[in-house]
Amino acid sequence: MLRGTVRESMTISPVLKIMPSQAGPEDTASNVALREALLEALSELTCPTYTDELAPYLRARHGRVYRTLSATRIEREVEGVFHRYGAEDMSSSEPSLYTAITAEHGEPIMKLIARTDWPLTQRVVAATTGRVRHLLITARLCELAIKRKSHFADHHALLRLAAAHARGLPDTVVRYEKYDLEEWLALALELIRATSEEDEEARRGAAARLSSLPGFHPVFGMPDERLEVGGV
Amino acid sequence: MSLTGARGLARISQNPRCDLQTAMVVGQVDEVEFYEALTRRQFEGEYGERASARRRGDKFEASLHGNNAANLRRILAPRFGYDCERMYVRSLTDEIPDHMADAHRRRYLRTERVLADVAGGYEPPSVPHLLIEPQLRLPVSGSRFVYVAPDFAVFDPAAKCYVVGEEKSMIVRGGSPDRVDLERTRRQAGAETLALRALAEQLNLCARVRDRAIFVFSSPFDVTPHPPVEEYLHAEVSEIRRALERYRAVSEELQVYGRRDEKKIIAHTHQLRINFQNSCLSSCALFYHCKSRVSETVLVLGDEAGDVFGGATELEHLYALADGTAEASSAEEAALAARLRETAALLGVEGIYSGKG
Amino acid sequence: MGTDFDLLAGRLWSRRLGRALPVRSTYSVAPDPPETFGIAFIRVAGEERVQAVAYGLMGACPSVITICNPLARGAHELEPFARALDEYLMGCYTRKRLPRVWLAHPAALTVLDLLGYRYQSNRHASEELRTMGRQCRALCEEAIFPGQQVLAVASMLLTEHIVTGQSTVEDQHLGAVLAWVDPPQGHDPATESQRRSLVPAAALLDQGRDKKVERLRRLARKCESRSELESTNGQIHALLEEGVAQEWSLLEEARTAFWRLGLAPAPPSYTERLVEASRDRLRYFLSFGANQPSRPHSLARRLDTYEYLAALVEERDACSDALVRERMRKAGRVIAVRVESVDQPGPGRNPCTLTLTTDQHVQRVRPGTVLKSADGRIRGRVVTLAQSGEGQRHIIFRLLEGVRKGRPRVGQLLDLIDTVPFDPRRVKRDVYKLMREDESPIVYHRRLPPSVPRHALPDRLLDLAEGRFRR
Repeated sequence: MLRGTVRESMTISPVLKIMPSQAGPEDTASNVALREALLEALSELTCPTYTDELAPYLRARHGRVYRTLSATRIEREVEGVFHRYGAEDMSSSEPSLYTAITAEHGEPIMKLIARTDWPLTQRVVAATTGRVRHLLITARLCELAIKRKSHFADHHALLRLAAAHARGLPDTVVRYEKYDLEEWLALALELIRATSEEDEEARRGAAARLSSLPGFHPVFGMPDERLEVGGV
Repeated sequence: MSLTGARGLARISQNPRCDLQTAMVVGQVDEVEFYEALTRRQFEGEYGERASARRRGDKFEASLHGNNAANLRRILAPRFGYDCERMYVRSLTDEIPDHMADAHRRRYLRTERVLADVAGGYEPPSVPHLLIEPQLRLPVSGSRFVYVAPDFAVFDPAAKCYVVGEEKSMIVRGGSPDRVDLERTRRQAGAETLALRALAEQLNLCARVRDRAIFVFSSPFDVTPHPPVEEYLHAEVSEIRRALERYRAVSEELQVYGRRDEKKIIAHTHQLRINFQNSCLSSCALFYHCKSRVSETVLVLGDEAGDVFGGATELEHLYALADGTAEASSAEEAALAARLRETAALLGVEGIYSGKG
Repeated sequence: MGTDFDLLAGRLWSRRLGRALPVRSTYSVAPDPPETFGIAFIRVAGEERVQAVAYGLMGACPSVITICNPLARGAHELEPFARALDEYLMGCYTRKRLPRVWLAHPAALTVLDLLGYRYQSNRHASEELRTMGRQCRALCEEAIFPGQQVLAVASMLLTEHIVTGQSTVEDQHLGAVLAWVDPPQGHDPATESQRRSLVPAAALLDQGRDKKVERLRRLARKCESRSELESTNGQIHALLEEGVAQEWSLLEEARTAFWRLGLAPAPPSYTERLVEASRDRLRYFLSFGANQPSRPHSLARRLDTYEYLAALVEERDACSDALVRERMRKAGRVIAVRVESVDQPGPGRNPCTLTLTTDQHVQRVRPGTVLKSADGRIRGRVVTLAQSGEGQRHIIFRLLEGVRKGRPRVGQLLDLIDTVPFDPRRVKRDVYKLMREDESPIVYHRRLPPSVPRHALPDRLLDLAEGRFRR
């Protein structure tokens, strides 16, 4: 079994206690540095972010330091949090990394990373959230590429990342090596304005409903084993 | 070529009478290693997918699934009458990545919950319009399952249930991709449809699942998708059902369950039936091994020869009949001998049966 | 057991003899013109993009282009190939010659077709590449027509003319086929064929080279100095050159083996018609584009053309190729008859009715079947068929053509064939005109009109039969 993975027999607090020998990856200096960098990146991006997006973002932000960083490495780092903080009250601990959760049943989305100090409403993914999140992150990447150019060690990598996201905007053709950042930003913001209210409402409703469920953990959500078909 | 999941069942369905291949699928062996262990010779040919082909497949899927599956939504929305910008997408591989322990079972539980919600009367957007890589499974025996994962499943508002879909990076020209590739894909989709039906049966949704699938192929231009094609798969579903029966029978016969039971299969090779046929060339690493086993029979000349002359007929027997050195045992054999001589005369090699060839 | 039986039995005898056997006595294509153009590709598996191409006049040393990064956006590397292809095709038209392009196998044809699709209207490509795209599409579109004479795909031509001692699926590998065509002295062709099958003959590098090239491409992306990059690219070029050289020599070998089969040329009367038709079509495609028809009339016209050409090719084979004719005879498509009597009241005038007899076992004729003689002198329609004793059959045959000079003598032996090409295109032009006037939504509209509910069927079908219910 991989170190730091969630064991199937494990259920959420109070059964979260795990033996010291089963603990997740040790907190080496590089792990701490990565976690700090990820927390910072999430603060900059302001919304839950996929590991496939975070890895290139960190490479753009810090250059060669994270040249070989993969999405899987980030996922393993996040899984480690489950082991490290399982027994503790997350609200009293330092901000850390965990995942976003689904609106229907509160299941963790292991590749969609959020900060543990964000409120549940910001970490819940409702029916409209996928699209709004994509618009938000596209807008944010464009904004960072326009306004904080010097902040990035590899600005060109950031432009490529922004362009890759802009491809998902409606009626947008992204030409090779052509970065219409202002245009993409304006379009994304316009679309966000049109849909964000509905999405916020859906997330608020889902967060309230999930919080009232027995066995629901505000950070870890609801483990798969707890959810029997028709149970929720 | 993979032997796991839907691809393994598709392989069995192409040649259900070959127990050796079925045993390889049941044991989930590495085909080349299995060949080498079986024949004690190095595998000399080429086998498996090229790195560039795999890379293209990954790139194609990534282009469809990226940005909240924007490209996939765009091409599927018109078919099902959705507004592509309002489609709810859930990606099961994002929720539980491959490297996590017990990923298949946990994804299955989540897929099951979505279908249970559908059975409870929910429709999009209360359930996703589009599920990326939902996990399904086909019961084999007792508590054993073959896990299969379609590339996506899309909710069909007319049927009030999901339809499985396959994404393949093969290029469509003139409205259709390569015939051989398409056949494999259809079989794979057949296994996935059957698995969806198995889950739907548990939830009393069976009437809503039809034997059909959506195929998304690539256009000739980079990884731009071709408009999706919906196909009915009655024949494929039925063949996969038959393949499952063979899977069950062989695994029970050999008591082989799960990965890497090479030694056990090799020990039983002598009692495993082989069925050498044309399609083995493009799909099985044991092609030349099995060919050597049938090299004395007409099967070495292909399926058509097996059909016309009878699969087990030895080449030497036919030569002897034509030469007149063997007695024809029936009127049919006598007629066959005459026709063989006629053909030799037609091709200008009549001397061949009178010893002058 | 029809035609296929002979081909299967041919495989059986070929295996015993240890060499391929011809199944035609004449070539199905016209002889190569003095200058023929050859193209050999190496593609990227899956992507189907060209990473190396060898091209030039057959029999001469080819020009070679290798592309280090075939997935890059620019395709200017292919421009010399585009110029050479254009020069060849235009040269043929200036000299009023038939162009002939040789490819090794269908995989190369697919690559050529995709080049066409990708570049024919690519705004980012140069004019030369767009022209190349149009020409590639034109060649591939022409390749679909039965009896076409422009594109020669070696593996398809070989398997059309010979049978080997292996299965049809193994015949798909050109190298494996060649092992049977020209077996090395003292070697079992089956073993040699298996040995040659280990290396792909599908416009691909062998797996060893492919892995090396992939590894070098990864290295090239990480190169930090110019010299390092040049050295890496040099290794990629060398590997691709080796691969494409192998494909070219396979093509040369196949072409030589094909013409060495030593079959007779098809009679010029047929060949010239097919050559001319091929040249006209290609000229049309090159001038107006080779997009596949999509509208009802153009689609129907295309299908008519295919059907007519297929019949013409079949007629050519039945009339001029003894081996094909014999195979058709066994399938009952060619009938050997004896003229028993000729009933022609007015000499040299219609009506003229022949009484024919045949003792052929298999005959696929029925009253109304139009047959023609293999020498093309008469054409007629079967009026009646009657079985007589001793397995003989009488055929009353009304002549439609050849009542004067072609009329056969009593006692003459004839081969009648059932392939009588009919060009429906002119007749159908009027039909299409009427259809257009009618404007049926089933044919011309994307949406069908709302359905009109049928009258309910009566409970008793007998009532319907008796005509009590009328609409």
